[in-house]
Amino acid sequence: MAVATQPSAPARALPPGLEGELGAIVGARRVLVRPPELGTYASDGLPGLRRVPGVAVFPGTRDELVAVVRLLAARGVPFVPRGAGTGLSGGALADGVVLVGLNRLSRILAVDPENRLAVVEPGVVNATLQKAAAAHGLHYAPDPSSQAACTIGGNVAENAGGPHCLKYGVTLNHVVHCTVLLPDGTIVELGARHGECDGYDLLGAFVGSEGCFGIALDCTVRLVPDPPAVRTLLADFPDLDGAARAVSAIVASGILPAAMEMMDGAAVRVVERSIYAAGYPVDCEAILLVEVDGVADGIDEDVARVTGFCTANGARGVRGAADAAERLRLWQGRKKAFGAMGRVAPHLVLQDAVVPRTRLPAVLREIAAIGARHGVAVWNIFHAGDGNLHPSVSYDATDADEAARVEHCMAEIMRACIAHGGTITGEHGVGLDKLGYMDALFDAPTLDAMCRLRGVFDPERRANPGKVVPVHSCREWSQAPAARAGVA
Amino acid sequence: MASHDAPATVDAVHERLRAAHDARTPLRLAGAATWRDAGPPVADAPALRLDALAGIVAYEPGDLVLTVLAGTALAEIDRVTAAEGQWLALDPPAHPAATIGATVATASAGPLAHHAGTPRDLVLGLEAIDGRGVRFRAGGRVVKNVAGFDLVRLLTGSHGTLAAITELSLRLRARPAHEVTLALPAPSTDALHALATALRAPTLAPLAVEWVNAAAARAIGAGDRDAVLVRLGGNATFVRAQRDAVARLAPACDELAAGTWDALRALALDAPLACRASGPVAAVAARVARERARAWAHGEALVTASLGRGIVRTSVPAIADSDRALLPPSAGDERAIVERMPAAWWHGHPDPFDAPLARRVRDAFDPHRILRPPRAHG
Repeated sequence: MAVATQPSAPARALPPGLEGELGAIVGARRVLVRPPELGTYASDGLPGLRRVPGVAVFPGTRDELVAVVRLLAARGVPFVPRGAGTGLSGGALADGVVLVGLNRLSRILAVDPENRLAVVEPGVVNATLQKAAAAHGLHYAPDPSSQAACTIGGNVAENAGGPHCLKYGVTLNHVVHCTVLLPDGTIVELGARHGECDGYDLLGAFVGSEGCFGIALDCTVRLVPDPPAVRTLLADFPDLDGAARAVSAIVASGILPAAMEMMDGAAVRVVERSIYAAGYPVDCEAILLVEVDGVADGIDEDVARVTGFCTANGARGVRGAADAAERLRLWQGRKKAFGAMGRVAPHLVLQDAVVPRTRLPAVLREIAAIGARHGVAVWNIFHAGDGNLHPSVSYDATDADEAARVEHCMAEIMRACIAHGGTITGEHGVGLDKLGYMDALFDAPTLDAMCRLRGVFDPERRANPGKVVPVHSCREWSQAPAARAGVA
Repeated sequence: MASHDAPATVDAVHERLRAAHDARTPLRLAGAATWRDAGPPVADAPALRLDALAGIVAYEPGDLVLTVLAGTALAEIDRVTAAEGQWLALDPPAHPAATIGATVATASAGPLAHHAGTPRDLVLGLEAIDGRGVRFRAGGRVVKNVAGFDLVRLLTGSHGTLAAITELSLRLRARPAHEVTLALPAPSTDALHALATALRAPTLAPLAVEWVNAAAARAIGAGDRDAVLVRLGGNATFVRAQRDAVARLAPACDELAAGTWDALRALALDAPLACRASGPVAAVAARVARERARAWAHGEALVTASLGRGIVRTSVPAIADSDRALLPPSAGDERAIVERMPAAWWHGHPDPFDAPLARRVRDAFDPHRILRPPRAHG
């Protein structure tokens, strides 16, 4: 868990002359070395963690990127790829090493409506791709809340999700091919733009590898048709438990909504006091936002059943969005909720854990009790249909006592989620933030197997060093570096 | 056929693999051994059968997640989930006794992949024992999980070359309350393109759209001409309206019995030649025409195509050496995957598990090639 006061490690020595060599590739203007400039890149969407890169370099073309990575390989320099820096696990922080910014590689290379595919460079913003697809009545399904800023390359690295992943699947299910630049400078094709692949699913391994396996030079993603019918429902609950039970009931019924999001009363009230006010009931203890989409045939039956499950579990009212404008407003409140929390306190910690859907009521009760024990107000705004919790706390990270209480509270919540058969991250990634929980979730042989998989792509471990799997877990790495050099 | 061994516990499998690793004795992993050997030929090592490692580990219907030992038969999974009104929406060509472990290891899927995806989309977690005798797990029992590097996707489709999968957690769906299957007469190439495009319209949401040639249609009781089978499932209103919408796409159509799909899965499982051609989805009609023509001379060849996924599958029950011409091309955007063919034909055929990056994967998980040991082509 992030601690605000955690210092940056002392900068490692980069090879002399590296700045000039990088400048020769991308232009001196695109190489940052001065601390005030580098400070911009010392954090991501996660508060509290600061890691200042030694150098930041911003290639503007695919060829420049390849040349940069090959130079770093020749010099043996570690690097961290970075998209928009909206990540929530510290995954794009570079501690004294080279940060490779990919946001200038932002061309949409092709949109192919007949085959429902798009080919994009890694720095294309998710929302920009959505706009390009919309012209054809298509969209890219993964819709993280940061989609106005986050990039497809970053989404691929993190295996990003979003509210509509409940029905449509996460990034893994929507990427069919990547041209990948391995950390040693080799270019490989993973997956296939068209048709099936045989052999190992190394594309599947690459998606979600958090920048540790290389950099995607381009990504081919699936586009899906806009659903002809959409029904968005807002259910208003006088207690959190009833909302959680309604979610479990809807999931168990087999109806697969496009999205099913929950916000507790405290979060609703913050949103309603902000510019993102969506018309949520301010006296509720929880709302459910349920979207059912697809073909029009039979959709109203599903909506009626969803409404019935809400009412049977105590909803005071269930109303549907009357038109597209109201639907957008209802979603805006949800997607900007974390922005709205900025009004409450200077820092926000946003956790990410997943539990089995039948356990939601029990886990939410436990989270409330844990928060009370630590004197911390925990908000819940999350992807309920997936069981993907985002317990969040607004606090002042410069207050050491408060920061410590928040840290202990969050750690206890994570342990509770693991105890209920859950996992420590559903969509934000491990990065630096969750490293400490990996040992609690996986045994040593499993972590070692993950290290071996990483070794296939990056035997020197120069890509995003120190992330995802704790270094002490990689037995071969610590025990037999010489033997490893002989492999491959 | 070499002798085989069928341990019934994960510990026993672990013991066998550890011993094999320590003694550098090759093993061939197998499920129920109901599929003919898939992929390139391997040395005639003793088989380690995993079908005795069977049973439900955990099933919480409310979570739509099922955890089973990997030797559990597909038919058993179907039986257990049906009792709760659910299903594992995965219907590869397979004998009912075929195991889920072999299905995942070969990344096998069938017509339902149109709706529900392939094993890579359905496996949430697994446990496995690799060629070094190391037991590990990957993923979990929740539906969304990005904790750590993705060993689940690595092992899915790895054809038993890296590890024995011992346990699987799977994403289930609600079994549709109502179902209907329509058979539309399949038109010629141009008209088939129009029909395939119409069936991909956003206003239709079929579970499966499968073109079958006349030989396959006859074998499953779907008439004696090329046909397009459309499977619809959902609530009563949905099925009624979608049925009418699909029927409007063809001059005539027949309703088929629900068992049609099981019959299709069971066709020609012993065929010595089975291969798939795939490529751009929008060009599926041309691909169907090409593969249909290639199989034409071979009257018994069964050809089916998942129109929405752009995949054409050909299986030939009896072959001669000249039938090598039945293998689809692999060039440009067109890709061929051979499921099975005579051992001699593999000579000179690229082995996807022997590509440069693939060799590094095997070095990491099975450095001594205990699993799927190489054999000289003959």
